[in-house]
Amino acid sequence: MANVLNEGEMEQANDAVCSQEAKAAEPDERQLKRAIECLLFVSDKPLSLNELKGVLEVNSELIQRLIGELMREYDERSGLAIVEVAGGYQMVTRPECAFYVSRLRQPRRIKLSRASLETLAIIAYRQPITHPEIEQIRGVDSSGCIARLLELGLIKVVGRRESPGRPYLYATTERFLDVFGLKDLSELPPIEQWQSKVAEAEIEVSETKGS
Amino acid sequence: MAKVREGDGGIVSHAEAVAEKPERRLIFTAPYEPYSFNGYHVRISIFEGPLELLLYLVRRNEADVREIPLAEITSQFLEHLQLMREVNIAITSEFILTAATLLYLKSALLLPQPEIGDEIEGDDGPQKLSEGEIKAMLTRRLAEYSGYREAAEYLQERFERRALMFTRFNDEGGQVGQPEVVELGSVSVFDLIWALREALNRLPDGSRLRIKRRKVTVAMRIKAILSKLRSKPSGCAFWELCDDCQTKLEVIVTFIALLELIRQRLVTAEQEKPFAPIVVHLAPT
Repeated sequence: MANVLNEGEMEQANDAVCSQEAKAAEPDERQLKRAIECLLFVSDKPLSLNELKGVLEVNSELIQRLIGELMREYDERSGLAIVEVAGGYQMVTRPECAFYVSRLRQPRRIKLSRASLETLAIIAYRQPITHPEIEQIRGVDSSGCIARLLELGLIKVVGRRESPGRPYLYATTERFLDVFGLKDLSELPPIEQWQSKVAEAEIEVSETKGS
Repeated sequence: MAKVREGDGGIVSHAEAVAEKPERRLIFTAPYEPYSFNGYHVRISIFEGPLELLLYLVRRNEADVREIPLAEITSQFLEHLQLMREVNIAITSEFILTAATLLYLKSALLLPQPEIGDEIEGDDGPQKLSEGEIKAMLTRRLAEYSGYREAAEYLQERFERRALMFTRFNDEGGQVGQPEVVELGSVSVFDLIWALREALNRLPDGSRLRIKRRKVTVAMRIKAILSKLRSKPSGCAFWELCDDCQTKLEVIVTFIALLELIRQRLVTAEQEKPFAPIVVHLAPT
């Protein structure tokens, strides 16, 4: 293809394009912040940093900084809050307002028994883990709990253990993080802090009345 | 450190040990055909396992988990199993295994040799484990298990906090539904079993051996419980609900009637704090 522009004209054209790109590369920070707010508002689930990047086409540091500013502004002035949950950001109502909100809307209708919570805790800390391994820890039949947790979408099957019977391996889901308000699994406190209390105490065998 | 009891020599079987103590009247019986309680068959699935029972008994007996009188715990553990069987509570083989482990540890106490190496199922299959290693294994399993219990409470707290934060969209969540099993709320099933033991121990001497039985049905006991609760609005302990019982069977049937009433939410069972006596009330309408 013949070069229709001479060198001087080429340079001018390049500058024009560059300055337009330059304008686009420095969008109004206020504009961006408002855009983030809108995206959080319309999204029906937590938005990850990557998803925000995909829409806004700016770098992560900028987005994070702006979200930080938004969070502070919301803390000061709004009945809503922006929280980090399930690996993303979400706009939620403040706990203080739950009383009124619940009059308009049904609260989350998940009811979990203590047994299911125990099973879930074991899976959360030990994932991936199989059904027999769970039962060995709890000492009770856990199949009902596992079924319920699967039904609720809090755990999922992630494979099979290559051992006799090839049992399913279970792990927690994104929904688990969402329902329990966790940013990610690392937010779970170390389990050792609870286990060590008992481990330190030796079962002392003592001579007792009438043994 | 294990202290070995000298003097008696030989191993006393558990049943004999139980019979020795005059105040301990519960005698282990062979499994018997369950009586047909007029069609009522409340089958209780408990979600607490043997380690939870062990922890419960340990905490009930001691302020902390440091010194556990092993013999006492073993007896109570076995008593609980027996009673649970009698009121038709499902017991898994894990319970039996824990009971066997406890008995093994206890019998190791009574033998003259301080150290016992024997074939026993460890966590990784049959291995030779000494008594000390078994104790360590039990402690480790207890510690591990109780860690997850606390983790479960932590998850509950987080759940409740998160549930206060609504989003624009309706959360389908899970279906709520009526639980089929008896929901005991804050009262532990082991507390109820404990109350059952108490009520049984209060029976007049020799009543357990009585062959002739009065006809007793769950329906009758339900009526009796309700009328007693009506006459005493401040609430009754379980043994008070049984004070007209003359045989062990009546006490057991009363217990089953109570569980049925709890399941139907006609009565509530509460305790002021852990291990406090259980008080039964009519449920508020």
